[in-house]
Amino acid sequence: MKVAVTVWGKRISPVFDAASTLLIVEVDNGVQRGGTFLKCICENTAGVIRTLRAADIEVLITGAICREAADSLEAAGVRLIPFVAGRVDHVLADFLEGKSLTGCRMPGWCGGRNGRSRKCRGR
Amino acid sequence: MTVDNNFSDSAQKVILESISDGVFTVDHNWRIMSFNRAAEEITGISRQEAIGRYCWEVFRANMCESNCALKRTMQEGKSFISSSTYIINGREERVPITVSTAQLVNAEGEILGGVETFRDHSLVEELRRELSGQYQMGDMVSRSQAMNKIFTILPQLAESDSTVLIQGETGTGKELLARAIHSLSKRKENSFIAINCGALPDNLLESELFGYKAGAFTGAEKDKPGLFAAAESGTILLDEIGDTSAAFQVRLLRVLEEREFQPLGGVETVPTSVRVIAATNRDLEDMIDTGDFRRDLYYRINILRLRLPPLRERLEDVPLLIERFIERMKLRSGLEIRGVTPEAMTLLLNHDYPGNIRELENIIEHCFVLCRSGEISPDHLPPYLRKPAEHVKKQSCQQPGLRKASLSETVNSTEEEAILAALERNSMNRTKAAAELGMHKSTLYRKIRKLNLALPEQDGRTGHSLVSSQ
Repeated sequence: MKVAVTVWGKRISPVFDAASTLLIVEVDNGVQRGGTFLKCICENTAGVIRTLRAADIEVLITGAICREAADSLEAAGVRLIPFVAGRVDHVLADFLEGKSLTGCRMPGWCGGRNGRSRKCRGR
Repeated sequence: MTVDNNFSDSAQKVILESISDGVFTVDHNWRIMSFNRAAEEITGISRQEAIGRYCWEVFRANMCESNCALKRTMQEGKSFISSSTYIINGREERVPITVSTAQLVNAEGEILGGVETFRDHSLVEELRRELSGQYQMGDMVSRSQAMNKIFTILPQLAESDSTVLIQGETGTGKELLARAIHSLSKRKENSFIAINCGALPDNLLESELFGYKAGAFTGAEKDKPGLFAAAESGTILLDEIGDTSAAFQVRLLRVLEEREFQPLGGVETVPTSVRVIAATNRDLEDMIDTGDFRRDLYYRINILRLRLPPLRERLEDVPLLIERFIERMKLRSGLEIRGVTPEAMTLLLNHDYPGNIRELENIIEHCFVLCRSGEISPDHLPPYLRKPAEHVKKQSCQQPGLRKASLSETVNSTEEEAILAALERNSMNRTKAAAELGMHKSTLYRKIRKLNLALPEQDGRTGHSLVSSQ
């Protein structure tokens, strides 16, 4: 299985739409097999989908993402884990161990994808 | 003195809590120290959750990663006022905002951190859309008659569940129109999914649309739902439907007629309530004649048809589109581009845009690479546009002191060009030119006078004198 992470230095990119680098990681039986960086203009969701497909990526871990982009990615068959914050190595370690990434979620996230049980504050 | 300080502190808290601008402060490690009530409302994040977190995890602006105003303030010691950007709140919504930043300094002049104030511009954006409502539908803007006809019928068209066929050249905004139909429909809460049928071979296209069952082919280890399943109760756009094979057309026809599909390798059919919008840049009727498109499928998808005019047929939209692209790219890049010089606008209005709106957007993006501030001038345009038009002499170009073309000037200039060209094509026959331009003869006369166009005194049809030379 291959996993992509939008990265900003050593951290997860805060906003998917503004991210410019993807870290592609191959996972084999819960173990990471190397990683490669790809330049990618994430604002162009169709381009990201093409890139993910070409690299045969199943999972995308990213920061905040707008609904339209999230819908497009999920419709393209990508398993999306959005609104994740923190150091890339910590997040990947948790993911590889099969832990839920709930502890790495950004504040205010409604857990809205796949069921959209939204109980948010705000406007 | 202590009483004064206490009063001052409590007064500051009251003020911060009562204003409608969001305010937060950060320490030197970018951790949020304070977060006012308006900040909670705009971001949808409570103070308890925000305090102590990194500002980018809470604020989530598109400028955080590469163009952080607060970082520049902390590094350069200068404030930034009203930078436009957007944030993403917890409901996955983009919220347009403006941001101002300053250093946080105590009475001794010691820098404690930074302060960022931000204002929600959602209402302003809504009002702007409301004010220009006659020109806007979804994400599309236009002043042209042809487009406004489409905008007028779009709400009724969106209410229906019938299949829609959108025809238009590449780059005319077929996907935007499909999105607008979806967002005006009762399906808007469900998914909108677009797929370019021309980009995929048959077997891949079918597996993308209808999904497959485990074991359907080598490598199909588990069931995969297709786009029809993902778009259930929503809308699917089948773009470039004219580029599909005869075999695929048969399969699609069956789905549209029976409202059900069969995943590859599956034995059971799956009912679907997806609304289908088809789009093409090809002439399907010609393709039927040549045997390249099935007549029965054509009648099935051609229930409601919309034709998007190419940009060269609605050049009056060019200034409006340029304004929109500049605003959009300002948000993206953080650059303060004010607009386009009259000379550059002239060149942009004299191009015929074979790539349509997408080409214009790319041109403006090209300009943003070369122009870092101020106005876009001819030097910033792609080289192929930088040839002076010989048949148009713009008033603005004759006045080097004039720095900016107003929207009305550019619209007038476009009208002038369209009228002169139509008259030339019709040997100065005003009646025929008016008919070609889609306006009444008297409207054309009024425009000729208003624009002060110098025309031959003889009407090409009647020989009557028409325009008094002024």
